Amino acid sequence: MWKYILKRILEAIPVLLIVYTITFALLKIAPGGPFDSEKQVSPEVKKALEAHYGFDKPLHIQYTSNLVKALKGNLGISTRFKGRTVREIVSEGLPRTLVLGGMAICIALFFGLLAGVTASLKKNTLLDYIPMSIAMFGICVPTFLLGPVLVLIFSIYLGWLPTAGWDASFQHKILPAITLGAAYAAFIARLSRGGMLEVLSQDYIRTAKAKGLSPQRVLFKHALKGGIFPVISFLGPAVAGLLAGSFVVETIFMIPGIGKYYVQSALNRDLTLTMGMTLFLSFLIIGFNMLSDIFLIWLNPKLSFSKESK
Amino acid sequence: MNIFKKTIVLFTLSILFACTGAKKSSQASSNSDGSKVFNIGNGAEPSTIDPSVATGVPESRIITALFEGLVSFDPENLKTKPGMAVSWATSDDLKTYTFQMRENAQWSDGTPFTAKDMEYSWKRILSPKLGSEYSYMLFVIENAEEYNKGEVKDWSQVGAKAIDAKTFQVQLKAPTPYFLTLLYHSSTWPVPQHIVEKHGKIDSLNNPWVRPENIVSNGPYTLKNWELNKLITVKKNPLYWNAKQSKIDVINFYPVESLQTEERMFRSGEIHKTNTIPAHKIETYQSKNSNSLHLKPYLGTYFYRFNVTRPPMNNPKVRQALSLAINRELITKKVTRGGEIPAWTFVPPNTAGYTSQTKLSENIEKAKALLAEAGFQDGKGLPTIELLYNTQDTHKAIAVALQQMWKTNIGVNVTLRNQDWKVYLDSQKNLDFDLSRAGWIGDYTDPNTFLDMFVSGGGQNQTGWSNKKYDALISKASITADPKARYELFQSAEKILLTELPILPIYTYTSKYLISDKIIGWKSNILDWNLYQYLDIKE
Repeated sequence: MWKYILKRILEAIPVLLIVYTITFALLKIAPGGPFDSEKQVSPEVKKALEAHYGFDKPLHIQYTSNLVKALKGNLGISTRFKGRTVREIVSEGLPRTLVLGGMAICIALFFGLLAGVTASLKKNTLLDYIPMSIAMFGICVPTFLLGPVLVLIFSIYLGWLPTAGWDASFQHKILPAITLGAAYAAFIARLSRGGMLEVLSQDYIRTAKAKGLSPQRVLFKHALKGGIFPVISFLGPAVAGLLAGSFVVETIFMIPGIGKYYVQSALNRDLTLTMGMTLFLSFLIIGFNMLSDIFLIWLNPKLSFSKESK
Repeated sequence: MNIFKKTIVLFTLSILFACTGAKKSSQASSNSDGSKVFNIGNGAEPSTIDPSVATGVPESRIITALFEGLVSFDPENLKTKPGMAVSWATSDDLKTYTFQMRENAQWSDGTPFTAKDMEYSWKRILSPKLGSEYSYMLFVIENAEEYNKGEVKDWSQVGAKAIDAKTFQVQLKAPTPYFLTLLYHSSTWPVPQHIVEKHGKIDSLNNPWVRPENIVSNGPYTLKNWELNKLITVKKNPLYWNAKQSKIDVINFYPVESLQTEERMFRSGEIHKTNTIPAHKIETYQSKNSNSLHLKPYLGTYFYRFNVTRPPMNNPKVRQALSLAINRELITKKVTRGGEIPAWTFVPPNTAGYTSQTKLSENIEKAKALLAEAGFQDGKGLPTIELLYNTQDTHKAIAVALQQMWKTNIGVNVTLRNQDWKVYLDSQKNLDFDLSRAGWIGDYTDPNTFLDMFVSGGGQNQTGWSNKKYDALISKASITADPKARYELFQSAEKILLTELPILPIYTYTSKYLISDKIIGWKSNILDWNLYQYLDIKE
């Protein structure tokens, strides 16, 4: 397995380099710069501002020096948040996004698996139709509708929860987590139902039942392992996406995570922060895809690491 | 399957318990210790709170709590009041101002505040390497612009000197009647030299002196806490010279960006004041006769720029026709709905007592006639005109309405092009448009901040328009001491502007937001600038 992991890590390096290069090029080509504003600045002021960030140096020097600094862990200073390093901005926001994403995943997994597995066991009954209809609803209703509706009900009319903000308390976390997790729960429900139905029709399940094993044992020891395969494949990139932060949910609930930085930094032409976020997100996607593949191989006795390594 | 049902019930119950078991932690007007807290929706995370570097309104709201300038003002009528200077005298030629600094004024760490702090701060904002975007506010001072551009290297030649610890003298290039109002702007406010230089050089942009653990200020509040994108908290500064005036103990600034989220926070009582209000909510609050809705004139004009360097906008008759053929009141009443005022002039009416006598009008027949004179009878033969705006719902709605008006009233076809903010700024700067949406907020209460935009080649011009007579009038006004004569020059200048129309004024801005009636002492002025030390909160 370690050879496999090493192989995947080595493969990731050129990918990250390409990501860095393309992002750098796009940011330099895009019209508009970090210091453009409605009140035009004079050329002298613009030059002075650019000098603070090294933007006045030739492009190839900026490219290589930023790369070298990034390898040392120095991702530079943001132009939008003066005096703040990218590392500081990301490390302050990341734990909050992680907590939000983590809670959303737990909610998504819990309700999704519950609904999907129940539906597969009670196929074509109400216990199948109702969860799947709710799941369809969850997939179709966008977060920017679900979030405000939940806020209207639970914060404004019932007064049980705050409308926005983030602190250590559970009350600030529950609505955003549900909003973010709902769509994922819906996908997981449908995927797990499909996966379980496939597994449940297999011969070895019939054998287990014929042998007289209890329904719980058949389910948890034998069926579930195979049934959640599609969920795990889905989870890899989904978790990366969740953890990179949901722009919409963080905006609706005023959560100081890293979700909105990814979009906003590009719109602000904040080169350092955009680059930092892009590299971070790439790292996450590569990492989670690798973890999800490892988990799949581990689960499925038909696959092996050595085969995958070839 | 009992397991599943049991689990669901248990889970939901525990969530409900967690929600209702503890009381909603909404920020009330007072902390548990009885201190008065003002919660503000501030619109965006500030880029910085360094007075010499900050440019935006969210920044200025926080800086207003932390710092104070040479002079202050009455929020009711914007009249000048003493600030860090208790008095000032002007020379006979009106070019020299001598300020007497306040006795016993201190920074929040107890360090005495002296005239040297003022001189240092202005040297800082004018430093060529700092790159302050508001350095131009002090260009009325002798050699300030030259020093900022690196043409004059010796600071002692600049007309801003601390004669001694208590006297600060300013030498202007020419009599400038609005000089004191320039000093209302936070970019001219002082910074603590001993702290700035402890953490960096005078012209280092990313100097961490503003961090909560480092910062020291001279205003009614000090910075207690700054969590990026989450919350900025300031608390009363007992060493402020007028500390007994401040009734509010703590102010929380929330960087809420979503308009809808902000309005919900206001409704639930979590904030007392919003940054703005979603357009569709204005009617809701108006129909409830709410005291919370604040809609007052603001020192700014919403307008379109014409690119006069290429056809068809190079023809003034076409530009005049477009201006005559629209209905501004329809826009403000039905589209923006925020109490905006149709603009018949470029400088908002009654700006420091100035109102342009030349006014625009609306007349479809006249518009048609002008268009025909220009050779485009009923709009025939006119190339399609492209209207550029930055992506935003309100700008789109206005553009669509005007597109409709031009088509219906005079047969002119206008296509719409929207771009993301930075791209739009770039296009506008490069004159890559026929018509471009624009807005301008005055930096200070004087017609000059609006009219000097359109001098030939000026950075804010961006229309390609150039008129030597206009340039001469603006130039002469900048050295005219007599207010009456000065305003006459502006009248003539604005007459040229509104005749040749390189721009199309549409409406005067309003400041629009929600403010709880628990806040006492909130004033309306055209700068929408309030000072926290004059406020109180009803329990």
